[in-house]
Amino acid sequence: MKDLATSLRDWVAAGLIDEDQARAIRSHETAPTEERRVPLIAEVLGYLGGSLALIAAFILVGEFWADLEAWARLLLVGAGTIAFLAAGWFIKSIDNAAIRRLSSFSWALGTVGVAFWFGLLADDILAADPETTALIASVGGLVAGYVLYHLSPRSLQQLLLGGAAVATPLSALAHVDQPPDEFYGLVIWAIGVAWLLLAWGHHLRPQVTGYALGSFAALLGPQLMAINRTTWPMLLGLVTAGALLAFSVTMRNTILLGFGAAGIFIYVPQIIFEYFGDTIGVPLALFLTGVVLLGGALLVARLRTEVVSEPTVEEQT
Amino acid sequence: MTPKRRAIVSIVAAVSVLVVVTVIIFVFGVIPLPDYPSLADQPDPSIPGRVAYVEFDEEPCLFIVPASGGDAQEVWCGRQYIEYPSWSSDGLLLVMDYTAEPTYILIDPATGNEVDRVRVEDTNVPGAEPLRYGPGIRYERPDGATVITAGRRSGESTVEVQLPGGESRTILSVEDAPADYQFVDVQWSPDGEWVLVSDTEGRLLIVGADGTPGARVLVDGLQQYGAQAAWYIPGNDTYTVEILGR
Repeated sequence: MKDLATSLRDWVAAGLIDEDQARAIRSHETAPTEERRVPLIAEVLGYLGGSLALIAAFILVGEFWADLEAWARLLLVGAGTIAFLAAGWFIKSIDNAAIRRLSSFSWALGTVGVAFWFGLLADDILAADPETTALIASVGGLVAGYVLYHLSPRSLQQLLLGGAAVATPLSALAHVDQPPDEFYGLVIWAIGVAWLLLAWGHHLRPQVTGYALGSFAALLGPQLMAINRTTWPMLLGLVTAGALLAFSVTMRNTILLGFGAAGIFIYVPQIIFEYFGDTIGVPLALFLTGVVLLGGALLVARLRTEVVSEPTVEEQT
Repeated sequence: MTPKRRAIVSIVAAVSVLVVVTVIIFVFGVIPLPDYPSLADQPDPSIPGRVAYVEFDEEPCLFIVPASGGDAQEVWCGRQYIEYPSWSSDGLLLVMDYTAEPTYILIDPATGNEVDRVRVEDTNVPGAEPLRYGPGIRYERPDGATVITAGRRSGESTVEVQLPGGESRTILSVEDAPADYQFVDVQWSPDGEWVLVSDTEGRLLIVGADGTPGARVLVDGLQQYGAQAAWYIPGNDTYTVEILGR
């Protein structure tokens, strides 16, 4: 492989670029980078060590948790939460990718801490019932998650915001007089679809995380609805998977393609067994499932070729 | 589509999806729970005896309430995991303690004192039937009539009496209750004139053996999915248990 200087000389000789452009490229490529990269292995070991230390701290606190007064619990959790949030804030401005990830991780722990603190407040101080405790905790997490996501729109912050966005309406739904179980899954599906739409409209960053989270929720919801052997959610799941596949092609998006394909593989066998298992028998249902899945695999392979063949404007930019 | 238009369309579409699902939930998902008159508010003196039940809060406690309705009286609380309240023929309360080895705790309802503790294997002598008085046995009346719960579809639950001749009749039913709502445990009153029903809302209901009068709430706020209770009418030994050595 040619080095940069040789390539630049060749390009100037071929008339592809002029001398000024060659100088500019050389200057850009040889300028010292300001960011000092942390080796990946060091970062992984750092997270591993930090996680072990955190687990040890949780176990240690767990030893005397039951003996703590309510105010002491709130103080302990509040102090830990503030520590995580403050640490994330102070290191956020350091121009280093690994440090930014650490800041994101620290804020994620802080978000969980806020939700936990509000849960403790509701349970220990307000003596709220479990449904109300869950609602107060998730609303606290939602507000904290939104603020932190607004300050630092990274994948982990979006993940926690999405989790709180699902937990809040679910815990609110638990206050309604025993809604059918399917409705919990329907809420998750609706939030998943809304999440996908918001990602598509560039309201959620990173967009790829928004697509992944939205697709996951939109496919998980119908599956949860179908746990009670209710059949219509399976059709909803299949339609959702089909829509993801269709949009993956029009938007040239491999994330949507992957989730759409997964949805097909999850829901088609269930539907075949549910609707035809009793009439055509298990062996034939299995055979039919295999044929459909094989067809699905071929379709996905073909779609993938189309999806990756032409990058979208978003991907190009 | 311009980026600005796309941003607006995405918000409108996302909000629309959430609004539609919310409307669906509130139109089709909010089904009121079956409601019944309260015996605490309007006691019925024609219902005889007392009902003992276990209430699980931070620790399980035994309560007694007049079957005709009225205020419940706390009798005993323990740190153990207890089940299967029963009555002895001489009016003592028994509960099964599953904390370690299965043990019966005998309690004097008048004082709340523990009278005795008997390990199950210690009762393995002729005449002892340690598991005889689980709640299941009380669904059968001495004349052979049984009372059962049934539900054929989501939101439907019934209490049926099957008479010895094979005739079956429904004495309590709900048609369009929330999907999770069910009648859980049923048992006859010792005189066979009433049926004690627990539902998934943690309520104890009393209904006449032939369905009239209809269900009335004796106690609410108990353990969901099957409150545990035992009915006692002094002088009626139909469902009482014998205690070794007494």
